[in-house]
Amino acid sequence: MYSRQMNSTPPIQIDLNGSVPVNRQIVDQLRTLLVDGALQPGNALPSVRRLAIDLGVHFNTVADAYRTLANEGWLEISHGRGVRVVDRPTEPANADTYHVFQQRLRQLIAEARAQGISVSTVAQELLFLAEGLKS
Amino acid sequence: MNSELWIALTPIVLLAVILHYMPLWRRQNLWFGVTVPQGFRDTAEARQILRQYRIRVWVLSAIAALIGLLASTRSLVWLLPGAILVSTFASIIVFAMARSRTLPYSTPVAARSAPLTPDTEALPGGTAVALGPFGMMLAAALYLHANWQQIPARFPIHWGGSGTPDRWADKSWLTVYGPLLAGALLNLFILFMGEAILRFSPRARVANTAEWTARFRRVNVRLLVVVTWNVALILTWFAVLPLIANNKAIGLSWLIPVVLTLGTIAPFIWQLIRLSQEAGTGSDGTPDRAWKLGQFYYNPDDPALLVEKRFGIGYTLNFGNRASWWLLGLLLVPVVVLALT
Repeated sequence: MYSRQMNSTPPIQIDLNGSVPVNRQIVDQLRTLLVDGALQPGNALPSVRRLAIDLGVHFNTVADAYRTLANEGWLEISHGRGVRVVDRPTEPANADTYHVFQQRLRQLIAEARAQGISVSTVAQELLFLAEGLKS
Repeated sequence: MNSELWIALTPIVLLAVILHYMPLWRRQNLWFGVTVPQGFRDTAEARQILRQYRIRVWVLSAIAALIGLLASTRSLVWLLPGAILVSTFASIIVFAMARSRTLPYSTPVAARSAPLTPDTEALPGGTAVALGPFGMMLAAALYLHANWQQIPARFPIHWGGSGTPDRWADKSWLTVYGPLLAGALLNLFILFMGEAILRFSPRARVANTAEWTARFRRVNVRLLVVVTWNVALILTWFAVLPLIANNKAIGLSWLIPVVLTLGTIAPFIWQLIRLSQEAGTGSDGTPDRAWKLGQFYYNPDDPALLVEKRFGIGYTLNFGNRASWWLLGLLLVPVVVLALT
């Protein structure tokens, strides 16, 4: 009656009071799981309805998040078969992508430094996380 | 004491006993419908709220029982349902009072969690178990059809406590097949609710509660499937009575389906109560402010059709979801049809 995937795939967690919009939180967490390999090509994800009911958020919030990841090439959304993880070839980043990434990272590091996290800790964490993510 | 008094007093006393224990039959981080910190239910404040609630429950139940007694001794039969109504409404008010005393300790959970797995749950036993009760009632209908001539022109449809008939009906397709039709409609509704629990209620919204919630849902859905079999059994028995009872008293044989029903349902209720006693059940992840009087869930921002009850066992409708009102409207259709027939 209950799928084995329930125990093996980590759950998604959102903070309704957080400063980051909920659809962005969903996208960020799913992307992390996809890059980390916790979600593999072929894995089925909950439908828009299912995830929206489980999280208690609007259907459009989940649909937006899934669409974003589908546009990035991570997911395939079909009416009959639901939502599936697909094999996504990693292409070298272009200049624009690199620039956006650099801006976001810069803001994040500034926030960390403002909160008293040392340069060496930031550098160590970045290296640890970058190497930890599989693809 | 006469039988009417027993009929009025039994539900009042039973309700009081259930209400006495019911606040303890929910997730550990819920207290009178309010999300509270872990361990709150063992604090002096929580015990005080519970004690006051229980005193009020028993005082109001005693008043309801007195109304019942008065109605019985003065032959004011119309007052008997009033006594039961007093008991029921009083329970809602008493619970709401205890809830408002608990609200200052509310610790809403902003974090939500959800399993990343597709819907794989299904009604236990699959199609065969779900269709079995319909098959039973269809067989009874065919049996009645085959023996239509043997059905008396007038037959009993109600019996007193001793099993002696006290109400009769003329033979017609509605009086003969009506119980089976009602059973089929009722079972369709119950099965729909079972499916709705699986499809349209949250699997878990609070971290580390998915496994417990899965077990809670499973027992609830199994209970509903068992209820469909009981409904079919009772109404099949009731439908074929005109043929087998031959207009005579049925004695205490009416107790058989009642005992069977209680015997098959009780283990599931007990299981649900035991489940609620387990540690680490957390909260249900619904916002406290969406619970009106602590019992009615109204949250238009929540796409769930059903959510776990905060007072009692099982699931309740999200009245903020438009589908809930359609569902309630649909429930009225058979009532209206019967009233017009």
